[in-house]
Formats: sequence, structure tokens, C-alpha cells
Amino acid sequence: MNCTMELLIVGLRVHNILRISQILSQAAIAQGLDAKTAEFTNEPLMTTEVAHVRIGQCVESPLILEGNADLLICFEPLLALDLVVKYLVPKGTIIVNTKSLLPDINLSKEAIRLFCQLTEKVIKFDSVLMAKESRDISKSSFVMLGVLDALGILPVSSVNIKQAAEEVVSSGDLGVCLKAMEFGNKIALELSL
Amino acid sequence: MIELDCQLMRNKKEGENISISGNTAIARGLIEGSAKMITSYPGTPCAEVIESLVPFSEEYKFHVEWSVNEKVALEVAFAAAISGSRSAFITKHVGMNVAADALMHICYAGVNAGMVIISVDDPGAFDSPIEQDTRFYARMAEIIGIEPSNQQEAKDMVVSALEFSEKTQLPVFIRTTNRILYGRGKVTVGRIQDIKPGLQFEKKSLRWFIAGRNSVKQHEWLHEQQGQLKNISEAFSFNKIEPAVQKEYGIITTGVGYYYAKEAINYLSLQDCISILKIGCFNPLPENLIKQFLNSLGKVLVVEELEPLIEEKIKAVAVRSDKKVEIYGKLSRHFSHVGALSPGIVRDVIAQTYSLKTVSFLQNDSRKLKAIKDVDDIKKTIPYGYLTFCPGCPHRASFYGLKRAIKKSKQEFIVTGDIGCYLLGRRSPFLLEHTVFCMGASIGIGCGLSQVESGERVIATIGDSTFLHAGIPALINCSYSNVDILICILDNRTIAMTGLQPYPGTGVTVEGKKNKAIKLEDMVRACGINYVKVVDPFKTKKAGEVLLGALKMRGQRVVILRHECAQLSNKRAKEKKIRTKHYTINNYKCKQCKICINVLRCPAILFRNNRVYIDRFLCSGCGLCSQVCPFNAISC
Repeated sequence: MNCTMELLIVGLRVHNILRISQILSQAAIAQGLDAKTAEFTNEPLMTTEVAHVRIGQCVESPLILEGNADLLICFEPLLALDLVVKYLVPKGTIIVNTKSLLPDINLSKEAIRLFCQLTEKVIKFDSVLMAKESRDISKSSFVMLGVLDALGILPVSSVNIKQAAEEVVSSGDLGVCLKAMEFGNKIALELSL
Repeated sequence: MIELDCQLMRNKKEGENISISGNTAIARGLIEGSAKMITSYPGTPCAEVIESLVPFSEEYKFHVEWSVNEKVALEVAFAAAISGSRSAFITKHVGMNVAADALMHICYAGVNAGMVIISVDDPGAFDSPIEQDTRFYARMAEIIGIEPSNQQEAKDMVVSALEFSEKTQLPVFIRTTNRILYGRGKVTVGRIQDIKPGLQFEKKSLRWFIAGRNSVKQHEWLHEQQGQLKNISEAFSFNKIEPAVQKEYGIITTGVGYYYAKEAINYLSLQDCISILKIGCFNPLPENLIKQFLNSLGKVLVVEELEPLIEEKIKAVAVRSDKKVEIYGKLSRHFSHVGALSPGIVRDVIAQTYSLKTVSFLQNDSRKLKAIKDVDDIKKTIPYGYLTFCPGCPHRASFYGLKRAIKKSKQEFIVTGDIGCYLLGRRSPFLLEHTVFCMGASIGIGCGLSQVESGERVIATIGDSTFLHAGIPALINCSYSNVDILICILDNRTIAMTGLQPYPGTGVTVEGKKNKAIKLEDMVRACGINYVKVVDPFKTKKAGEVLLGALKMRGQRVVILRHECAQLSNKRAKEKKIRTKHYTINNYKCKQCKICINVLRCPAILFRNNRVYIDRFLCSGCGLCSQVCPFNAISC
């Protein structure tokens, strides 16, 4: 019954996670699919951002039904705690950035440990470190896009993802963003994903 | 994201599909519908409508503005509509309250060209102090009220609304919600119309004189239009019946609730059992269509967000219906009156209403059930106020200075807060603000508190734009009532909370053009306040002296704590490729006392591996921590 791909993305504003939902939904539509997203900026100051992304032939609700997320992309493990429990399917995948920007790193490590108890598919890597090479943490969203693309689990093609990125990113920024995506591709290959 | 959506919008031709947010979809609808005057006051979640329009204002020759508040914004848009130009006013739900006075008056007069009022509700209060259902305003004002259920409809309804408005000579009210505006969906780009100006403003017409006996006459005129509005509602193309094979159960829904219901029905495999009536026009309701829908059914569930506005009306229609129909919804307590809906909530209520068994997705997952407890355990260890002001935020410096000054004054104060980033002043480590209500209420409530014999003195904290929006009348009241109050205006030279918009204090328009800047200190003096001081909160010694001096005095005192928002400074530095200076901690001097962490809670100052350090990627270089460190261990 569930023929949509359901992604949940969570991070801080600095991670620019809404770029991922924007590019994926545009890529899906360019591919002739339907896509809906719902974006949340929680907490005062809108520091935390959460995006529901649903891609399929015909998408109804913009929100993912509880217990139905196939994939949870998490830039800050602590922020994803509730979401993992509430939304992830039993054998769902969690892709987690290990480099937390929040003060207490031990709590983040504890959260990652909990993720590993909940599902066997936890992919861990430092997306912020890779983005720092381009001197901009906000590019970590493109590193993540590169990883997602290389994983081959998305219903949208690499060509369409790249084309959507080219359409929505300003020309001055495009080179750095595409480089960050290549970093992501490389990480996925290095981790033999 | 706005500039990126705009880029997408610019590059696509009529008939092509794009994935854009509801904000951008509304902006596109206004361009396609040839709106020439578009006004608003920044508010989440609809600020991006205006920002999406700015890059197109010259090309399509329309005026777009951030007005000083919502009432003025509505009046400006209305003036355009009575002068023959199509117009739009966009606001978040609470802004509709500010504009309500004007709304009730303008509907008596009507318009000469299409005018659309777009009000964005925030079920769940994700980005607002309260959740409130603004559909009641359409009913009170006796105008057409419509609600889109996705981004495509949001765009198309704007175009339709402008046409209906022109046809009925009344503004059309569009109610939408955060879930449509803060989300993306497929939108097919439409044709951009070139509408010629309508009837011009007639000086001699009594329509524009809403007072005395003429207002009664115009009220009568408004009632005469209601028949036409009902016809439009019945024929509204966004109302839709989706009949099921079996004729017993039905759902009447509106807005994004339609898609939640569809999702839930699919999940429960009830496509053959439940008919759906999607309502696009909620005021006036298409009663004949509703009757037609009810006549074939036995039980109907109403799915709508916030108040049971439609449900109440449907119950009244059901009484007059040929067949007895049971109506369920909020009034029957199947749905809660508060909070946002979700597909899960709708699924569970459908299952309950139609006596179906559902299994919780958690029920068979022992690992998840155990994890819930572990998650709670971890969450208990996360300190309150974990998320706080941005690195380099001048409000952190202001609250740091105010807290120290209060301590030094050895007096007790009630601190009233207001709407803006600075409401975080109530959080750790400052714990200062005791009240937060609506825009400008810090001064108004403060004025009242100062006049009751509570034994405690009052400090009001308010932002720069909020002060101009709604603080000035309250300040005049303080002056007129001669109360004892200290007002701290936290002037960060922007509207930061909603995305760094300019306002009259900056003298920069939404299009980036330089205009006259309104000086806050001049405004304060003009309100009759003699004690006005301006100080930079990052000059902690000087700011502390000024605040302490003001606390010790009596009467009305205003201290303007002025320093540009760090987000704005960082944005400019990035654009101009200026490298930001970063502070570091000298490990030889640092005694690990953690004073910098405990008194500032700056996200850039971290404690890891038993030592304090500053993350250079988060540090904005404000240097506040270097002034706080008792061992001079922090420098750049």
C-alpha cells in the first residue's frame, strides 16, 4: 500500500536542511512524480528545523503518518530522538551526522547508541567536517544529498537531483555545492554503503 | 529558500510544473492575478509571500511594502482597490486582530477593483504565541471566505479571489495555514494576466463615508450582496464531492484536512466506504451542495482545523435535511478543539467513529516501547533553555547587562516581555521576563502593573519594530498616566525573528531602497519621555552604568540598547567576503570556571573533554565572552 518514499530530515538552521527537501521535491517533479513536503521551524528563534518529504506517484498528506518514515536524516542526534521513535518504520534507515554542534557531545553519542538499538541500518558519518572544507557548514546539506544519491535508495535519478540543484542554487554558489555533493558521493563509497 | 523558489518561478513557462512553497505559490497567484498593491507586516509563517514578490516588482509593475502594522497595511491595500488597482493584504492570524477594525469598516464600502485578504493561521502555535481561527473574520465581515488545501489551490484561489472580489465589489478572504505555506507541492505555472485598472476613486460618492446613517445604508448594501456570495459559493470549483461505492459514511473537510482524510482513508482501505465532500468556500457555505451530500449518508465526520466553524453550520443544515444524519467532529468531542491535525489523528478518529479496529504502530514493537523510556531518560538530562539566542546576538548582551544591573540595584522588578527574538530572555541563564502577550503589550501591561500597589517596580522590554508597530500608544499612556516604568527598547536594526526584514526604523524599503528612517529616540521624546538614553549593549561597562542609573530613577525612563543583529552582520560579511574574527580560549589562563557558559549560554562556547572551548565556525566574533571572563582568558 505504501508506495511513497518517506523521508524525515532534522537539523539546526545552520545545516540548511530545507535545501534537501527543496531539491528532492523539485527533482521528483521533474521526473514526473508527485512530491509534498512539510517544514517545521520548532522552538523559539526557529533554531531547529524538521522537514517531512514524501515522494511517489500520488502523494496525499504532506505529513508522514506515524511509524511510516523509511529514512530519517539527522544532523543533530538529540533533536531526532522523538522523531525516530514516533516515525521510523521498524526496519527503517537512519543516516546520522556524528559531528554535533550542541554543547554536550556525550548526550549526542548516547542518542546515536539508542538509534543503533532501534534499527540495524544506522549510517554514521561527519557531514559537517566535510562541509567545513568548503568553509561553510550550511553546505553539509549538499554533502548529505551526495550520500543519499550514492546510496541509490531515492526514487529520483542523480541527473534530476543535479539538475534541480543547478536550478535552485545561485550560480555563484553552485560550484561549491556540487563539490560538496561529490564529497557525499565519495563518503558513501568509502563507507561501502 | 525564497531566492531559490523565485529562481524556479522565473525560469518556468506557463503549463510547466514546479515544486514551490505555499508562500511562493501565493506570490505567484498575485502576479498571475495582476495585483498592483501588496502590503503586509512581517510575521511567520507568511513573511515569505512578500519576499517572494520583491524580485518581480519592477518587471510586473506592482508596489509591495512592509507597512508599520497590519491595520495600516490593510488600509493601504484597500485604498488601492477603491482607486481601481487590484490589491492584496497578507497577514498572520494575530495580525488579523490588529487589522480587524479596518476590515469591519471597509466591507461596508466595498471595492472598485479586486482585493484579497490572506490570513494565515497557525494551528499548533508552532510559530506564534497563540493559535486562533481567523475564519470567523470572514463571517463577521460578511465576505466570501475560501481555504486552499494545497499549494496549487493556494495559487489558483488567489487568482479566483481577485476575480470574485471584482464581481461582488467586496474583498475576498483567504484563510490558509502553516502546513500549506511551510511546505512544498507541485504547482503548474499559469498565465500572467494584464488587467486594466478598474473604476477610479470618486470623491463625491458616499460609499467612502462610513459613519452615522450612511453606515446603516452601506450595511444594508452589504446584506444585499449576500445572495450573490451564496451563488458563488455553490458554484465554487474548489468544492468537490468524491462519492464512494457504499452510501453510509461520509467526511466533510476543508484545507489540508482533506489530504489528511484521504491519507487516513487509504491507510484504512476505506476508499469504497467513505464519501468525501471537500469544501473550498467556508463562508458562505454551499448549503445546497452540503444538503445533497448529506442526503445520501447516515454518518458524517467533519475534519477541520481549530474551531468547529463548519461543523456548527453543517449541523444546522442537517436539521433541515430530508434524512436524519449523525454529525461528528469537535462538538461531539471526536476531535480536540486545540492543536494541529495530522494524518494519524484523523486516521484514529475515522477508525473510532466508524467502529474500526486499528493497531498502534508501537504495539508490536518491543524495541520501540523500550526506546520511549530511554528517550525520556535522555531528555530529562537536557538542560532547560538548551536552545537560546544566536551566537553574537545583541539581546544576549542586553539581558546580561540588565540582569547584572537589577542585581546591583538590590530591588525587585517585574519584567514584561514582548513578541520577538528577545522573548528568550525568559529562559536560562537570564530568567528575566515574567509576561509575554501580544505585540506592544510589554508597555501596556507594564503601565497597568505600575499603577497597582504590588510593591514591585516594572521594566518593559520591547523590540525596535514592535515598538513602532504597537508600542507607541502604550508609551503615550505611560507618559500621560505618569507611571514609574523603565522601558528597554532592544534595537537590533531589523525584524530578526521572521527573517531579517527591514522596517521604518531602518529607512530601507522591502525592495532595498533607502527612504526616510524613523529615529526611535525622537519618537520616544515625542511621546513625552524626557529620560532617553541610547547605548551599545556590547559595551558592557557603559551599558551596565546606564541601566543601573535608569533603574535607580523614578518616572518614565527609556533605554535604547542598540546593536545590529548578528545574523544581519554575518550575512553582510558573507556577501562582501569579509572574514569574521573569531575568539579563542587561552588554555593556560582558563581556570575552567565556566562563568562564560553559565552567564551567557552562547552556542559557540562548548564544554567538551573536560575543557571549555569556542567553536570557531559558530563564533560570530562579538567578544561578549571576553568581557565576561574574569581571567582574561578569551581573546581574538
